[in-house]
Amino acid sequence: MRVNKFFITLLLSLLLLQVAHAQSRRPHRIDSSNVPKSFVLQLGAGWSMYSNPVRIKPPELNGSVQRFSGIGSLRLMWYPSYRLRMGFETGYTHFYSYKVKTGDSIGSLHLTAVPLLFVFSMQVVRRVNVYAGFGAFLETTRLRYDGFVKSKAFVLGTNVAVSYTYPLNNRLSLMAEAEWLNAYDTRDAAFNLQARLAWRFLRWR
Amino acid sequence: MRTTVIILLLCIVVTGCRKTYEVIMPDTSRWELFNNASPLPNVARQPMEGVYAITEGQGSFGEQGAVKWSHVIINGDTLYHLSVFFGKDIAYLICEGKQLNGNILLNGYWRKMVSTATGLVQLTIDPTGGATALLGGQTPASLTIKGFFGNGQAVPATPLSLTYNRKLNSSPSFVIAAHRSGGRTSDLLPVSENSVAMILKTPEFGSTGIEVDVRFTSDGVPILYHDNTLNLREVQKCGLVGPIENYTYQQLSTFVRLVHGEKIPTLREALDAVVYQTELSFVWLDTKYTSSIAPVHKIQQEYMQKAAALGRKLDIVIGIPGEDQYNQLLALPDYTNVPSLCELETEKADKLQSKIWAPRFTEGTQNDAVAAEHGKGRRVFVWTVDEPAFITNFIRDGHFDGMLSNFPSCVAFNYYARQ
Repeated sequence: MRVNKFFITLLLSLLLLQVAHAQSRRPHRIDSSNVPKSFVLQLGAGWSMYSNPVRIKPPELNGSVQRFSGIGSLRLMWYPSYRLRMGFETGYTHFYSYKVKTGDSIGSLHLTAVPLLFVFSMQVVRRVNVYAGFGAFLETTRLRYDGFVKSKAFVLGTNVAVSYTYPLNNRLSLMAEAEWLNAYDTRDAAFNLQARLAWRFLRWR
Repeated sequence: MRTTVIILLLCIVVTGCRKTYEVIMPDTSRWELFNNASPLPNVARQPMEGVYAITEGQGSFGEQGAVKWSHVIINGDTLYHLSVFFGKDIAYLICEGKQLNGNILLNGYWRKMVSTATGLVQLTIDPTGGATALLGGQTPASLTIKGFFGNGQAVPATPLSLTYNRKLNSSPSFVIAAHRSGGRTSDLLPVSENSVAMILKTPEFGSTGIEVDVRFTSDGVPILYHDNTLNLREVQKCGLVGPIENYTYQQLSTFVRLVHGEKIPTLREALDAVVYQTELSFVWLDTKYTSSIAPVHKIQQEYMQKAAALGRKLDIVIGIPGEDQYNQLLALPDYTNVPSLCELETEKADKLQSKIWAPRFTEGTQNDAVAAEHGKGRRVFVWTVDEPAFITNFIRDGHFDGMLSNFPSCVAFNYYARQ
């Protein structure tokens, strides 16, 4: 709790400083009607590493954990006339899997997730954007052992990402992104590296 | 602005980490004197039971404590524990007893359920304090338990002294029923809720009965589990998500362990433990399913017969918490012969001929309604009472026959210390 109070105090102090700093500047009027607004669709693919500990329980189960896999994602962003952008992100992540052997029985377990996140983003340096989102993960267990079971659960979660954007033309950009997905209730988390193609499919003033 | 955003994100990441609470059970094996002592004769135990005045240690444990022995059978051996239930901070201490050179040694730990506070306890009854009479199977003229307690793993150094005051209140029909087979995992107990280990642990907390949560696996095996889904509040991380009813018993038994490492028990395993390993006199099978009650009724009958064959007085009742379960029980041809506990209106308890009516504690003591049910020959249990002030008031002012609580030690103190 002491740590939380410290950071909350620090945060409030910085925000107050920011407000004071902003008020000390001369007003800079921007005509928002001239700023282009757009919708951007981002398609990504890359590599995912499950970043939380996985211990196969109980220990008498013999098996090894596979925590690396491919990942695909889709993000729809609205770029308004102001800095804060918002959108929705989904995709498919393979958190981890393992095969087990108990006596004569063998089996496997796969845990996957579909993120369903509201995402906010802001450009912090030229071509560099940060993203933070919240929402849920639809987690799915596929268990092959004593039959086959597919079982699903919604889990609250967040994501944080940072990306570098390289424009190809007025509508298309290439992005490189590092992202951290975190499903709270199941303590599942993954670190992703993705290449993204961003398509500004709708633009207006 | 950029700096603020970056710091904001860093703050979210850093402060978003959840604080985890834990209670590290004190290691009670380090008292050399106790390790070299001999077993305590059975005749010495019962005369020790009573309400004691706390003459040293009041600041930590209050003014009085109720001392009670309990036992369970593990691998054919009977294990005895002496528990002291206190009136402050839902505190209790649990000890094993031995004798050495005419002294009675009590070695164990204390815990406060309002916090994570715990520590070691090392107590002695010396020959002049009553040990000579107790070891001879007699009730001593005066009885004093003296020793020390400490915090965490520290060697006990703070004085604790208890002096016998009077006998325990003992109207034998009152049931101290512990929730989720003995207590909640979230209360940082050393064993998991709804486990066989908890069933064997809960007599130390003063329980004389238990409530367990019954669900079915996908292949129809009744098991003990509280929540709708597999989650980290109840089980260790295993990769299985979703409703527990999606999985077979074999799958759960192989892949899933409760928080403290136990297997999810079947209802049969739980009742085996109750009948053959404890002296618990009451089991409330809380119905967490909406399918037929017949399979559980069959097991209920079987284990009541097993208890009767051992000469045990054991009531096993099927809980009726809602309309679905009420209708399922009505669907049985001999539903009036099914021992049940009805949480619904008294008219429905009448229709089912339930043995017990169980109103929620928020309805108050309802002494008139309780008296009316007593008039019908029906017992009344109140659930789930966890607030110490309510427990005190309900035991002092109410006429209930039993109380369901996550803190059976608090119920035990209020019940046994009642004058």
